[in-house]
Amino acid sequence: MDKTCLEIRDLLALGADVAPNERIAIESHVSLCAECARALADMQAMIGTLALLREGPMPAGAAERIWRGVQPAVPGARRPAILAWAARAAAILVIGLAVGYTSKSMAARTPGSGVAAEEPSLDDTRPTIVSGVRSSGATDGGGQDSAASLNPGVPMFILQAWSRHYLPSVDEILESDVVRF
Amino acid sequence: MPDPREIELIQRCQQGSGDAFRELFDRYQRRTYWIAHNMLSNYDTAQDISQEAFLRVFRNIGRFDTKKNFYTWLYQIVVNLCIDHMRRASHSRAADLEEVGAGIPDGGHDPGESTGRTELRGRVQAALDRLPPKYKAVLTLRDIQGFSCEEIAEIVGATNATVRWRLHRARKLFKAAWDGKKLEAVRDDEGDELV
Repeated sequence: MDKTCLEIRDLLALGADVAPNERIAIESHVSLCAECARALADMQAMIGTLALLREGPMPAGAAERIWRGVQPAVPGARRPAILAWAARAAAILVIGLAVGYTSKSMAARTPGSGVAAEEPSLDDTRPTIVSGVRSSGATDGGGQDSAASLNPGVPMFILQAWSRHYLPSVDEILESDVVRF
Repeated sequence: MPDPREIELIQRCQQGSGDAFRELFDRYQRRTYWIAHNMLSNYDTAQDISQEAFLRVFRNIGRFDTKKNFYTWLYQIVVNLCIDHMRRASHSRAADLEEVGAGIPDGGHDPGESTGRTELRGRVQAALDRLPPKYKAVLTLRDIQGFSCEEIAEIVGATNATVRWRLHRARKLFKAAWDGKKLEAVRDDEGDELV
């Protein structure tokens, strides 16, 4: 190995970070020297193996574990996204249950209606499945009237909203001979 | 040139916004973790270092100059914490090639990757772990994380020429470690003991 080869081998460790004049020197030398060309290929392959350690996805839960350690020092920081979603889902569930319970209670208080629902007519395209309030009236709109008479202080638009919900009636779920509670 | 959205986030952090800090955290947590993982090759320590780095950033963000790059500041803290940890633990000095290779955690890489690839990755990390901290830092930042020499100079607080010199030295050391050679105890031109 002559002096030029030694100088070139030394430069190879700079990889892609060689200066333009050094790059020219390397390129012109390796075009004539097979051993240095092989050494260049080896060095490039070795540097390339380091890319195997390049980041992938973080291990499961690592980000949240790190944040849990940071959050107490950060006033007013929002909760981790997954907890925020869980809180939202829980809130929606509670509201849904409350609306369902309220409607059912109103239906139960309507004289003669119990929890039974009217049979939806074929031409009734409304999404309402259970409408205990409406079912108590004998005429069109009777349900709303009945509801209004039961709740004189409540605006009609709220009663209309209450009367339309998406919970299936007990009669639709249970067979007729099943004991109801 | 710092990103305007990032400047806004930093300014909000400086006014005490926790949500803005969470957004900064979300932007940088992954790379922060991987730099620490590459440097320390330990899952738990990488998490601890990442956490400590973000805590230090939050405590000192009031003094941060938004004309500077936030990420180079953050990664400078991470690299310094890692080097400090390695020196305290005499990580590279005590590291034996075989032991380090066996102790490499999975660290979140694709669980479906081939055994051969996992073993190769283990060997690469083991060779890297034999390097002294400051050489390991430049190799991690350049050849694994892909930062430019200019960015690395900002992160490690050195000149461009020093970074280039350290990279040159680091690759030679890595090659010796990769070839299974004993790294000789010599002092470098900066007066620090190499191995």
